[in-house]
Amino acid sequence: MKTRKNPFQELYVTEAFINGAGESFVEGFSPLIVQHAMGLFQPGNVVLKGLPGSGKSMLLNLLRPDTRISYRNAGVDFPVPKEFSSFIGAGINLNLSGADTFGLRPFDKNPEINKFITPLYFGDFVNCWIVHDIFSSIIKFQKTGDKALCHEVGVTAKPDSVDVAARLLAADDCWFGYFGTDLSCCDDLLKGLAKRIMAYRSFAQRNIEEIPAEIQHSKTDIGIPITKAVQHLRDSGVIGAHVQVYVRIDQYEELAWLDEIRSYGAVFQQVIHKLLGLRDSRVSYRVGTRRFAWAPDPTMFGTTARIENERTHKEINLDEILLRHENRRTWTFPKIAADIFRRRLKNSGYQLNGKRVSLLRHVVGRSLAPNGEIKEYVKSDNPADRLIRFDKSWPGDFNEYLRRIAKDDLLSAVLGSAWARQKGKSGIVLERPLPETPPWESKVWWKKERYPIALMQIASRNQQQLRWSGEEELLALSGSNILAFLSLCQHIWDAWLRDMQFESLADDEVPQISRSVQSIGVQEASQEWFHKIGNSEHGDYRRERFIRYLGEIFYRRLIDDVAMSNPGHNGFSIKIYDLESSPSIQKFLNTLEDFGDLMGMKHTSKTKGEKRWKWYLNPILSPYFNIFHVHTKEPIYATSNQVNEWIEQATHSNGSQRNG
Amino acid sequence: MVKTATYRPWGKLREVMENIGPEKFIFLGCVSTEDRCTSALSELSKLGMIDTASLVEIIDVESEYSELALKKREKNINIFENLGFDKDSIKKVNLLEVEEEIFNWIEDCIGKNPKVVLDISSLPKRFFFPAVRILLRSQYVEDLIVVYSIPIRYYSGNLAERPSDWRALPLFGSQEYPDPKYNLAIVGVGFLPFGLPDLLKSGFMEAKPHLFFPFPAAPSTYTKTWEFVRKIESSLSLNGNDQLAHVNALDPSDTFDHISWLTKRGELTALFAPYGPKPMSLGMAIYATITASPVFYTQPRVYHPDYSIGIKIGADGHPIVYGYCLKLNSREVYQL
Amino acid sequence: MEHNELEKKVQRWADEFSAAGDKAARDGIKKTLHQLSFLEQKLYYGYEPSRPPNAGYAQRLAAWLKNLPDEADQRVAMRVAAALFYVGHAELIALHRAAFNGPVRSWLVKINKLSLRDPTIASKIDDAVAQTWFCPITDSMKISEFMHLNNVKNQIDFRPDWRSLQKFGSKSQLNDYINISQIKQIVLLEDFIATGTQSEKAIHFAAQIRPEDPIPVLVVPLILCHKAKKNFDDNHFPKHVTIYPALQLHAEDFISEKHHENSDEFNAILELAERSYAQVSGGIPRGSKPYGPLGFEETGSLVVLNSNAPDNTLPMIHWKSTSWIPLFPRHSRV
Repeated sequence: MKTRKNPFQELYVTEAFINGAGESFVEGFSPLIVQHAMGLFQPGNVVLKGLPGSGKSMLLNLLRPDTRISYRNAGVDFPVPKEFSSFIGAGINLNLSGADTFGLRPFDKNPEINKFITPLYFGDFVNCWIVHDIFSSIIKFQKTGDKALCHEVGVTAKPDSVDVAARLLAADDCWFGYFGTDLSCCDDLLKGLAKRIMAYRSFAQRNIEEIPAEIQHSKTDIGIPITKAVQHLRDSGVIGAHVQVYVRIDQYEELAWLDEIRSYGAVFQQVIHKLLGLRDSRVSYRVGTRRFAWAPDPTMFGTTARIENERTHKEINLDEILLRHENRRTWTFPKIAADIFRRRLKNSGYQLNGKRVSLLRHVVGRSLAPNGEIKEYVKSDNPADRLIRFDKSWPGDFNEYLRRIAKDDLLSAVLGSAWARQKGKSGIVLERPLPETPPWESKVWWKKERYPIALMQIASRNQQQLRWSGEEELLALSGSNILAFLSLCQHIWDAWLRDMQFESLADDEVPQISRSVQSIGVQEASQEWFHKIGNSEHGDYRRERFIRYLGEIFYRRLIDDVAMSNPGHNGFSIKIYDLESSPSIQKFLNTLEDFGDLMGMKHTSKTKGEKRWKWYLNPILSPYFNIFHVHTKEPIYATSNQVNEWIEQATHSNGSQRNG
Repeated sequence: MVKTATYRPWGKLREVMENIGPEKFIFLGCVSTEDRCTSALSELSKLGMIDTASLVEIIDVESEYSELALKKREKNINIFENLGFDKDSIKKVNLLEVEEEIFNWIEDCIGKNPKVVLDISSLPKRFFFPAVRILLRSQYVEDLIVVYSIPIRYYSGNLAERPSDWRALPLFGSQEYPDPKYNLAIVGVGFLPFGLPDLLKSGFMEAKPHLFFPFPAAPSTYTKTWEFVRKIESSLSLNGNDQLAHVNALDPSDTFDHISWLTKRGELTALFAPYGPKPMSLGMAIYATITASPVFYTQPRVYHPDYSIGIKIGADGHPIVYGYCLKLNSREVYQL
Repeated sequence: MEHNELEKKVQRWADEFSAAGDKAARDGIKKTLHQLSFLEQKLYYGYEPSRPPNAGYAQRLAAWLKNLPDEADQRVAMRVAAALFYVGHAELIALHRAAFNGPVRSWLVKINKLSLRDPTIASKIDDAVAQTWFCPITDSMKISEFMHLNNVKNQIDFRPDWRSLQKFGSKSQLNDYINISQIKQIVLLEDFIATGTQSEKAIHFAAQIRPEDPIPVLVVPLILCHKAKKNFDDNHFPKHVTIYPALQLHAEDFISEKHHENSDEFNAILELAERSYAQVSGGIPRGSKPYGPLGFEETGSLVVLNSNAPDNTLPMIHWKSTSWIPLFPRHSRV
């Protein structure tokens, strides 16, 4: 390694599939995530939900033949257990294929006819694309000449049988005679399908006036040619009876955006739903989507019948799986993150010491306990009065009492100044003699709930931003999102490279990055993440303004809460029935969740029986707003009206801080 | 870069039109919130070179700017009316209208007059790209002049908001199947990347990115452009000498020549991302039309009503408007 | 203060702004530092008067900020650094090409009355180029670079600078050369014209070289500042002289001595420039170099060229004295 580089410079190595760059995928992909989505590698339809960066695309990429071949070429075991790894993967990206542009040009001048036939053409296009991709995938494996690989996948190495399957499929009634009788081999089938696809594309590009008659008169039913293709491939011995066929449908959520352009989005989604509704054991579909882009009661095209979770398909919510729950032991994300971290460093040429338990921990250390953290902000043994914040009404000897405590334990003193302001506790101010051991010291949970707000107030009073460092904090700020984790690492590494530019350090030595440098990197990552809300694809400054406004509310409430009565006011909660009776607010908040601006979760209300839902900022945004990310005690109890007010005030607030 | 021996006429509108005239043209333009949307038509009217005008009033998606935007558009409609054009003939079209409506607007004009002026000053790329393609390819169109007016200044904040997804501009999608690999991704650098590095990486990673940096440029524009490059480079490694080219922001011919050189006159395949100034984007539109190359963009849903202010006046006392000849006497000026 | 120290200082500022609730200032100061670091790699490394073994940009920036004891002033100075219009080598090449493809060719079409409809117009322009005398106005313009970059070929191989010709040249000898070389038009180029004081005499001289049958003259500054434009307008050059810059800078690109003409940001810069001038100049009175807080003829320029900083640019950027270290030290010819 000649020059030091940032191992996290490219965030998307495994997110996207790159033709011919599978080596990067093999090196970068952590197999630890596979076990949490085993449903993808077993028969049955799956709707895979997750935010960008949750690992959704990464997992779906495992279904691609090129990925499989890359593992083989690299001599690395394919991360799917052997018993589940006999499958053929194929798919369609609804955006890149152009499928979602159907409807932009009317197929028929009569609007009623056009409305009817457009989804049929959409379905036909999807059929052709997927069938082509299934055959192409098989040929890819055969062309490797690797009999062992073909055997492992479950594909015959003999190309002749593919021709047989192609002939059988071409002759099948599902095409309504499109292929005629001259088709002799797979190549002809693929050419015929390509010609059909290109006809649609040419029509969309206005290179032809109308869809050719042979296509008009042979529109296929959604899903039928796909299942027939698989059936004929099995019957011809191309794939074994045990071999599964998994078809990816990417960018399903893009269809939800189409309503702004035209009205077909919902209908096209119904066409996709019909694929799942077929419940045909010959083919299993995998639909990748954001959580709220998947309709709550999806119906199928041409019917009022619904598809249902656990009946027609299984829903896997990656965000939910990777998120930390009550029991920290079940939290799987840290291991995945640590593995990805190690891989990135290894692939960048850093010398790893195999004996290290955790490379991540070696580089960034452990996060500090509160008493350790406070030393990051205040070094003096004689902390200034402004850090403790006395009340004017307090007697001098009580203040002196807190000052004495502060000399050994500033955090305790600050907690004491909050204690003395709380209802039912403020009597301590007049208590004589003042207790040797401060009463709050025995209230373990009371203290623990208030450490984050205390540190935030101390930092602010000392003219400092909150500091962020250590493995635990990085993982927490990531919000169990791989992309967020990588982004934090990228910025921390950048900050470290800047800090080290004049130092001599062996290029391949794994560094231990100081806390102050980590903190700079975290703040910069957070800032970038915040600005992405408005600036990225599907970015929206309305969301950005609301998040900014919300962040300011949280900051002000926490900073001004010197009594620390509400240490959990870095989130808010609404009654579910209130939310459901405010569909526009519900939709707005769902959108914020869907884009990862907010994290939503069930809230066990302090009022028995009351059902609530609560939201917090995506933890990676916390550094930007200089608030802590930890969820403690009760959030703000809000109403949908209040949220509506916030939205309005955010809209009218000064947007001058926006940077393009 | 090897200089070509061609000359593709362009220059100040009056000089160009007085040279190729006296002719009467059909004018395609738009009513927007920008003051400059009226200047080209006004100038051409003074020269007596307008036969008819076909204007679209483009309406953004509903936003907090809608009321102000409407007022500004109405003000400009009045200016058009004072120039003698029937305001009732102005066609209202939504920014995210079904593409067919855009094509119909353009094609309705073909057949009325073989001499066409297309004003791209305020036309969103979603409109002007297909317009360029349709008009270039039309056998009926004999003269095609594209015009572009210069404002006094641009809004200092965010010019546009709510970018939609990364998709091909109308008529500039891929036509081949299977999708070819692209050798190059040529990006016109502008003010707002709108997630461009992420998009380039997720869709077309094999395509080697090349940035076209618009220069000469005013200092304020220059600073913003470097900021755009910095944002891209934070996630996309670029070799400065090789992958960043300074291209004249006002000369589509320079853009066209740069593209021709990079692609070895079409030997290498390219996709385009026109985030830069409109004349640069025009150069891309022309090349992409000739070579059937795809053009991708994240179309904003909302433009700031003060996107640009005023009309810049030149030393001659006239608005600064540039004219670019794409076709003259049925001869296509731009060829590979 | 090395660059790392600067980064630490900027981080401290960011902390203080954040603690004061000013996120815009916090984000702004960090963004400025990152922009400057980035531009150092892309642009500033090529500054000719400071090539190695002289101090690099990062060191110069740190030292330049250290000139100012007050941290608020240092922050304004950073914004000055970020506001500079730096014309690097690649930018200069682009200007050369823009000058030829825009002003020169369109002017040749106009004065030779060529028809844009003529499919052979390109070769007719080449014919016109063959009869065009391309010359610099002063010796700071690298005319050969212009000729090479634009592949301009003609047989007119003397290309004197007209400022020198105006001082020392013989009109009759020039006319002889014009006749022998069959020169039909003259193009005068200059890289940067701030006030036009140096150029105007040369232009008048060229315009009057053959009064009985005036030769058309095109003046193409690669960069023309607003004061020069006004100067030229006031000069009332004859009709056969055309001024057509490749890049025109306008009043809003300069710091004005009049507060009401400036934006708030530029007023902050003006205020700092005025207040620090005694330190910058090392006590030299106004009127002598470096000519006052806004530079020569109070231009108030923020332009820095790859080859040098013009003396119209704020002296706080380029002037070296016993009490001031510059950011882009200027090399003065005299």
